[in-house]
Formats: sequence, C-alpha cells, structure tokens
Amino acid sequence: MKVEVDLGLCEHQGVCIGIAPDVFEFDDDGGLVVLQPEPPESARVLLEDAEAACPLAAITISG
Amino acid sequence: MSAAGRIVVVGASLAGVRTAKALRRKGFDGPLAIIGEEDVLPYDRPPLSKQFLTADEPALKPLENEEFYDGVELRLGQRAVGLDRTAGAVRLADGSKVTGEHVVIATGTRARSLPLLPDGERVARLRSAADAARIRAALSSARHLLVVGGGFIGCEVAASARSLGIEVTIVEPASAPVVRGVGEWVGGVLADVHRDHGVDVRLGVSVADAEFGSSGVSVVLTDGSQVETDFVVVGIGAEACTDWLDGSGVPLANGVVCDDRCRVVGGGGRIWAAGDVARWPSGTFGGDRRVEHWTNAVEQSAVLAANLLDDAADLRHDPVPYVWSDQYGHKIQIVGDVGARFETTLLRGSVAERRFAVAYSDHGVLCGVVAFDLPREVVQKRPLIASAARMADVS
Repeated sequence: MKVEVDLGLCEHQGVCIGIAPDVFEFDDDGGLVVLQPEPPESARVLLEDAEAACPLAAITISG
Repeated sequence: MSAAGRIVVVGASLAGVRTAKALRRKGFDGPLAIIGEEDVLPYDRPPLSKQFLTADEPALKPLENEEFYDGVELRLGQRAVGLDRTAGAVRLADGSKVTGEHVVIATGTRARSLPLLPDGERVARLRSAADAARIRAALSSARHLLVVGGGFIGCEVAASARSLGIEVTIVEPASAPVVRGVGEWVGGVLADVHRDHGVDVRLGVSVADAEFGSSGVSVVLTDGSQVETDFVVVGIGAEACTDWLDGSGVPLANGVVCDDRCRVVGGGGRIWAAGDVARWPSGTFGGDRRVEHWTNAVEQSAVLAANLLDDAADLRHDPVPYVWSDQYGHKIQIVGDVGARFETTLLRGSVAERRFAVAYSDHGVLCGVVAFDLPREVVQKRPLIASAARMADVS
C-alpha cells in the first residue's frame, strides 16, 4: 500500500494527522510530511478514513 | 449483508455521494440509485464562495469522477417530491417512482431568503453551482457588493470580492460576524480582519427597505443609513430541505429526526439520513444537533453506510465537529463546540498578528478551539476536546 499527498492541493488543515498520526505529521515549518509512504496493511482502514476526510482530496491510497 | 435490495439515495450532495461510495467500498454491489435535483455531476460546495468566484478559469470540483457512477443509477435533474416510507418509494417531480429496500435522505439545506431582497438580476443567495456562477458573473462588472449576513458564507464572499478589488459592505444584525458560531470575541477579531481589508462592516443593523433602480440597488438599513450597491448577496443561514417529506410520516424538526445510528425515527430501519438535513441526539455535546459542516457529512455518511449494511456494526455518530473557513489567505479552523455561551481563553499566538488559537470552555472543561493559521493547535486539541479535558490540564 502506498500513501501519496498532493502538496499542491494540501492546505495544511491537519485532518489526516488527527486520524493517522503515525503516518502524517507537520514539520517545523508547518508543512505536511508523510512519515510512512508505504505503511503496513494494518493501517489501511485508518488511511482510507484519512483519504476520505481530507477536505482537499489531496490524499491518494493505492495498492 | 442485510441489504440485498436496492438502495435509493435522495440527494446528490456530499452526504449522498459519500454514502454511495462507502456502500460500494464496503462491498455492496446491489442496485444503487442516486437522485439529484441539479443537472450537473455532483460537485464539492466549499470552493463556491472562494476559488470559484476568484479563479481566472472557474471549474467545479467533482465529488467523484464519472467512472465512479458506472453501475449506479444516477438520476440528475430530478427532484424528489414525496416519500412512501412503508413502501420505500420515492416519488419524483416527473411522476415516476424509485423504490428501494432502503432509502437514504441526503437532501441537504437551502439558503434562507430575505423577502425584502428576493433573488433577481441584482440579488443572489449562494448554495448551488448555478448561484455561484451568477454571483461570479455579477462580480465581473460590479464596483460595489453588499453582503447581507455576516456568517461564514457571507464573510467568504466578501473576502473573495475584495480580492477582486470590489468595494464591499457587510450588514450583520448581531454585534459581530459569526457570533452564533464563535461568540463575540472571535467574531470581533473577524470584523477587524474584514475592516483591515477595507470592508465596511455594519454591525447591529439589518435591512429595512430596498429599492431597485436601473443602475443598482438602494438599501436602507434599520439605523436609517443607506447603501448604494450594484449587487447583493444574501447569506442569512440555511434551512433543511424537507418539504418533499411533508405528510410522509417522517418526523421533521428543521431537519429529519434520526437516531445517532443515522436511522430515521419511525423509518422501520429502512429510512436513513445523513449530512446537513439530519438532526440527531449528540451524546458528547448534548441536545439534538443538525450540523452543516463538510466534515460532518463525510463522517455521518460513513457511519450510515456501515450500519445500513450490517446491523451488528452498530456505529454511533457522535463526532467532535470540525469546520474551516478561508478568508484573506487566513485559514480559520473550528473544532468542537465554540458557541457564544462559553468562556474563551487565548491559548497561543497573537491576535494582533492574526495568528492565534482560542480555547472555549464550559465550567472549566475544554469544549472547543478556534485557530487562525495555527493548524497544529487544532490537531493537538482535538483529542483533548473529545476526552473533555480540564482547562487546568490544557496548555
């Protein structure tokens, strides 16, 4: 499974961080960082929630 | 899976389309219909008051691409006019009927109208893509815009118009914009932000009269002052679209009354509701709620789909509310309960710098946060709001 964030769309609302803090994080400048671009399968449900909850539809889960 | 029969979703809204998506994702491959009043592929509404008004090339942002609707009976340009709740039959304006084993009500809200300023050549409300297109067209030649109502929609339209160089007046009967939403303190900051950007913010007054002339509209306010304008946007709140359910036996109370599993009360487990139209009892925040937020529609439709397909799922919808607004490049985020009745405390940042977070508390318990350009605070405080942390433990 792969997680990608379109940083051109991301507006740093942080909704994904609230849902999956092990995968998403703000860096010191407030930019969004994907900590685990290829997270374990066990995280799928949570990551699909994060994908669905992103107001900008900036997150794509594939594989 | 308990739902083998057809599922009819009424409303091609965010809640309606996300319900359909969640049903498919959870493995429902039976017949699925979505009925939508508007004649365009279902689209996302938040950009309508922002990018859609200001971008050089405005484009609707589809909720899903066309392929998503393969295998879905998508009936656009069709208004639902009635429901036989025992038969699960939805009656459409053209006289036809769509019947389902389950019916999902996701008809959303409509913008309230102001009798003195009815929709017309120089007046619009903002709810649909068609409304936004009219406002956009009007802004292309307007020198002055009057926004009636200082709610988030009105504030966002005002900010968009300012970014286009248009003079703007906001008229708001309360003592600050968005007072019912965020209280006087943050509302006052918001008024200042609009004034910083050259908006004429008129508080504590409302529209007393309006006269339409050949070159514009002359609006008289309750303090006797007059505003000459080219175009008026009325943004005075929304009401649930439930008139099609009158007489259906579905309980209505400015919204469709459902339980916290998204089941409509008295619907026999076959009638469901999600999104702006749904009213349900919130355990965490007390009382019945109807929430018009984007995120609520997304979360509620996921709960609905899970419960509809599997009784044993038994998920409750009782989220910490979240909503955002974009004005003048500021990202304003609201999480939890932030009404006017709560105590407010500055948590972080500086109001003067327009970068700050404010905590809302009820008898010493954190219940909400408003953040201006401090998304980290929202992320950090959300779990503390969910667990009803004491203010003494919040830093």
